[in-house]
Amino acid sequence: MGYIAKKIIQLILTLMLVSIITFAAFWVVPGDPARIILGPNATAEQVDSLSEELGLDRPISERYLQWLGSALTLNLGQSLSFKTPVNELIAQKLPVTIALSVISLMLTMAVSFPLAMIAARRPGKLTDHVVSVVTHSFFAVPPFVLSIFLTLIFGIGLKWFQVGVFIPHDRDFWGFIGCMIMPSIAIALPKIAMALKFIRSSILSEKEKDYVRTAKSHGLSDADVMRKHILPNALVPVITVFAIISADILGGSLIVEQVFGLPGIGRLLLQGISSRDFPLTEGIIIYLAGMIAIVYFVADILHSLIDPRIRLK
Amino acid sequence: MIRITPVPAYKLYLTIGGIFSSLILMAILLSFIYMPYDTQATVYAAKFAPPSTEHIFGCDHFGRDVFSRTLEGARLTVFVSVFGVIIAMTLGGIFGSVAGYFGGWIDNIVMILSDSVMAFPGILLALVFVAVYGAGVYNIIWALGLVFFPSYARVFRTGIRQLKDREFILQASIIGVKPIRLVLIHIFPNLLPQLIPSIVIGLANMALSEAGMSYLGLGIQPPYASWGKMLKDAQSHVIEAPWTIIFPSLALLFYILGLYFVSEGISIRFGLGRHSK
Repeated sequence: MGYIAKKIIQLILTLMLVSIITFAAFWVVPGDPARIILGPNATAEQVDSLSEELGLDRPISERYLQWLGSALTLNLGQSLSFKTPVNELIAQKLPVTIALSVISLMLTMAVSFPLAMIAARRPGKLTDHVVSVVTHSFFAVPPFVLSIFLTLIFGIGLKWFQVGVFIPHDRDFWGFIGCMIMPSIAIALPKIAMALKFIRSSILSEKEKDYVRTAKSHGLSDADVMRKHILPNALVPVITVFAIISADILGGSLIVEQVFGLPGIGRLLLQGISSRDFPLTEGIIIYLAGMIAIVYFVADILHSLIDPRIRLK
Repeated sequence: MIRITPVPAYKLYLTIGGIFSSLILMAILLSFIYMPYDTQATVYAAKFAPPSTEHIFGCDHFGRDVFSRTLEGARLTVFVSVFGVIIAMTLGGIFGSVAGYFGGWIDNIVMILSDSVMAFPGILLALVFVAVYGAGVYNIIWALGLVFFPSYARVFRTGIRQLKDREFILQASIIGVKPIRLVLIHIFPNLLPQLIPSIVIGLANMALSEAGMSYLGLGIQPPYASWGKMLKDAQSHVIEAPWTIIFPSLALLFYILGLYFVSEGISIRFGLGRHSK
């Protein structure tokens, strides 16, 4: 119980710091935030009225506490450019980004595990080298470059999907999933490489251990040793890696959405940044960072459930 | 048993990586000696000119020479990634050394702080920085330096914690070596095997982030050419002028792939790599 309590306290501390960093990034800036938002051409009256609207005349600590209090009830304030509550805007766009991230994550897992097992079967041999070099090459390609080439080859060339068409999930669910396939591949390919590298090394380090030799001397086949003994143990450190990959996928989806013209959080964030809509941008950032912090937390808990030794460290 | 690679794997990685990344470095050197065209000169007659002896990489939608712009992009990307890493490593070095050396509550605070920075996915924090302070080369360098410092802080912290109790460090501190000198002269050189791969990877990650941000229009601003921005512009003309998209992406790929291979090679050489087993 002590371990989980410690992790919960750590999560709360992280979320607090994340909120402080986000708040400070926008409002503790040299100069007047209202002036930054409105740009150099705004009149003094405009700046004053925006300052009043945002409550900038009040002390910073009071504003932070008030913002934190309303953020805890998921009230992230009013968007300046859309004139609607920020959480409504996020709620509209979130399904696209979540679907994209989840499909990418599933794809990453589905491909990286079998490949890693193949590569780890006989380390240092041709298959291992081929897998390693190919995945390294994908690791190096930025998702947005992959997206452009996927659009070029499969969209414009082979016409497997229509470029720039988006089907909302409430109209045609499978069509919506269909729109996500290519973007997910673009996000997943580099992550597959990363996951594969870790799973492979994890399997290899388990393979050297004594219990594997014991299992083999009991007459188990290589496949059984792999499936029943090595894999479950090798999976433990991989959980943490997948938490990191989830965070990367969420970040990567922000850009890939732009290439495929998907109306997700990424587009909203860009609109927020380019129109200097601080409350909107701030709301999106705190939302995403909060989600990541929770993913890390869940990974830690899962880790400790599977491998209780970690609680003692 | 037939060995597939007659040379050690690390040499292979280092050679391939070295070739790829030195191509980019040579391109930068070339750009200082000889820049074929003005990167901002728009020649409407040359709009979408295909690769030829005059314009070896062809021309873009404004009739600008893609080769010259790719060279300029190389210069900016390398500049941003090198200085970004310097900032990240300096900050990470200070925070990580303090945390690792003193331990205790200082260590906890630094680690929770770096964990919270790491909770922001990818380039999100860098985008916040740019949202508030505006885009531009120097702001991007600062933004990326701030975003990536926690990973360096971790390398320094872990390394110092491991080395702190070794005998040569204890003996040095017994004869009265001051903590700062201890860290800089006695500990730092021993961290290099871990640090060098993370510097090389850092260069690649910074270049990737810069390209992503420039692609979104929040990175290096026009009229300067950056690979990300070139790709963004080229995307809508991909049918008429595929060369506008192929060359900048190849350049980006070479730089990043080269750095990854070099870092992999170094890791294997020092027995840190996952291939060493």
